[in-house]
Amino acid sequence: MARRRDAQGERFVYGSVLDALGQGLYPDKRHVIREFVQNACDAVREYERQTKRSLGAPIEIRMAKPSITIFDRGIGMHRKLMRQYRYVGFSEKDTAFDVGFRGIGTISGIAVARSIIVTSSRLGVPKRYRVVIDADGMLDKVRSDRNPPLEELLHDHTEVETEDADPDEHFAFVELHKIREDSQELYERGVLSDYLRRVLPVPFDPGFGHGEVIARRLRLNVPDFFDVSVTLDDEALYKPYLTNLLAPEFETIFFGEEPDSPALAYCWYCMHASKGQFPDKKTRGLAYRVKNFAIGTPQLTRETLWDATPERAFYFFGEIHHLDRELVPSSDRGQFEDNTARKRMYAQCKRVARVLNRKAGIESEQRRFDEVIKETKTVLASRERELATGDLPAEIQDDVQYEIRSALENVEKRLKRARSKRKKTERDSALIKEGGRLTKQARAVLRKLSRADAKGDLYDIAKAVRLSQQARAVYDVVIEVLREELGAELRKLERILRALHARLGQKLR
Amino acid sequence: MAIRFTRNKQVIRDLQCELIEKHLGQSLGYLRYFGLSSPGMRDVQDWAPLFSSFQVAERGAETLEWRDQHELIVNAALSGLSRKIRLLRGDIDDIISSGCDSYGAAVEYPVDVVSLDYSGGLLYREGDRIPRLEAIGKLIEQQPFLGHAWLLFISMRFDHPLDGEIKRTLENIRTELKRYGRSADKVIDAAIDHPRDEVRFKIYVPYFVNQVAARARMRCQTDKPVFYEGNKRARMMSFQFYLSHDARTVAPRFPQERLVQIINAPLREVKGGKLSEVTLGMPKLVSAESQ
Repeated sequence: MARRRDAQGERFVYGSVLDALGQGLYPDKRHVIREFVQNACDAVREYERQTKRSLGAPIEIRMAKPSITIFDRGIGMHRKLMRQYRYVGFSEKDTAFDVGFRGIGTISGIAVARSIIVTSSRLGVPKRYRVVIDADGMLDKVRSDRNPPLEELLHDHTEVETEDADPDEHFAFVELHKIREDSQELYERGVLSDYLRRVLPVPFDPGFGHGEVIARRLRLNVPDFFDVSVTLDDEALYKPYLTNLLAPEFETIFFGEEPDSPALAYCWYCMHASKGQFPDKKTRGLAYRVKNFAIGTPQLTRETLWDATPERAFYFFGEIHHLDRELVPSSDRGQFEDNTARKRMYAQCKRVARVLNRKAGIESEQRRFDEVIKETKTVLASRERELATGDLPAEIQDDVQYEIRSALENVEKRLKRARSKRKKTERDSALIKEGGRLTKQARAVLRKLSRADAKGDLYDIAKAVRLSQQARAVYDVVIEVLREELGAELRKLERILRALHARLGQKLR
Repeated sequence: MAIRFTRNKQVIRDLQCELIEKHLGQSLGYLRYFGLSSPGMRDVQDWAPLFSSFQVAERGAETLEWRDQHELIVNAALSGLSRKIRLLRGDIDDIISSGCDSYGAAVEYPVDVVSLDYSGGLLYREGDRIPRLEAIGKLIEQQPFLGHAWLLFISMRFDHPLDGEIKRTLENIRTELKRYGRSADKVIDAAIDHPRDEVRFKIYVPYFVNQVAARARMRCQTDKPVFYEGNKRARMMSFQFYLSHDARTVAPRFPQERLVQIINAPLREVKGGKLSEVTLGMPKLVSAESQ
């Protein structure tokens, strides 16, 4: 059967897709800024790659109403790239090397600004180019002209201009001009700064004591790792960090279990030095990173990697840098595209969760052992003092013996566990030493206690206030009832007893 | 790309720089600038080491305002001056008069150097109003901060036909002098009839600024006015004023410079990059004793 040719000049894409692309892909307007900064990062990297020189100058983001500008001194764009800047969905970027590669980042600008003006000059090219995208014009036309074809819109509402320039010049300057009313939140500097610090490949904060060590390890182990200076209204942006944490540790995750399996991801993490989760809910946890751009939030790693005890994800703070080039971030960088690479990554990176859970478990155990040692020390010191001064009430001799025996059992149990570890840390050794010393001390106190009655080292209120036999009998009944009522609450019983002794002492001496 | 000044303009710039160093030398590096900028921002770039901030007004071409404004901030970024430069979008006269630009960004006072380097004339009218003069008056009113001293540079082009404003003002000056027993007929007539506008503006502009300054309780010293040929052979004139706040009274003061000083002040010309004093055949106002 003969096929019919399609009518010439038929159009397949129409203007309303602009609105959908702009609004739908970027409901969070801050993502739009990120898109442009991604381009700037790619340009900076390309410059450093080509010239083998470090750029030095930061990417500058400025907020000056009615515009927001992003300026970089990267490699710059030549005419072809500037023309392509106006295309939708076109990109010749290398997914292996570049961050932005879908060719929709520029169009994202129309979601927040009435026009986009880009001026650029490429290193080695004696020209400066300017692209102007009249976003308002396009969207008005879509509404008024019954959704004209996209090509027409882009053709009629974008232009490229050229002028002479110094061939040594290299930069790109993006102006999002006339930020829309519904995007004014972008001018909230604190909010934008906080977001950008978390997602951009900015350096570690100089105040983060472990930053240098971590950065060095990342450079060694993550082939395309880089960080770039970014300023927002002249304030340098650094990655947020937490305090009160232990020294960083590092994990490489491999594609498979074979010995020559290549690395799939590289992880660094710091554990909370105090018990439990870090209190800072925004910064705690591990963040996925691709080319040092954050993908999603730490909540994503928690949901995708932790099958058991997910609360332990927030005992840690760190990053997982992905090396698999088949792993593709989603357009909004909130997730990864669902493909084989993602499945593989989740499966292999769950090892991180297991390792961290184990560490959290060990740390928890060590911390608990430490607490038990402290509690036992306090109890032993207190009881030894009472025995020495004769202040321990006779009524609770058995209870105190039970208290010390329980503490001793607890210490011995943890001691046994610590001694049985194959790899002992310094902390383990210190706890074992201290635990060992405490068990000896506890046994000594128990021995003293068992002889205390015979030696008269216990406090006998009946003797102290010379209770008659009958009074003694009444007193014993009272103590019996108290014991029944209070059960195992030794502290309460002891408090009541001491109060009774004090009153009886006052009244009857 | 930065555009070089003409030789004559460079002389003006050097004069202005000398005044900055003379009057504001103790604050070099921390000065605050407000005004217009030359194409390519060459003026701002040259003075960048003296200033900590520049508020630069850029109107842009009608319906294409964004183009020149964009160009300005690109050049600011390329010259590493973005941190110091604040763009005020719109006509500078409107900005001064309203106190903010087309997008509501307010002018931040006080400033130390104001440069009104107009590419056009000073006296263009909008109905009954002369917006440029009104703006200068409003500007001076915004600056009376206690103890504050600052420089005002005005450059203008002779491109508007002389209207009655200058003539009426000269007549007012004649009347004022007469009131004080001085006959200025010879000088005023010579000024009114003189073929060169420079002669009339030499009196008018300093008189105007002195009067407005006095109302705002400022002392005003006028540097000798200069005329020159600018870009594309445009006839230009440049004025430099040093104003300082006088806190001694609440009531406005009399202008610091007397009319005699203003009338008799020398006129200078820059020609071929060389500065010289000229009279253009104007008589001086003689002292009362010799009349």
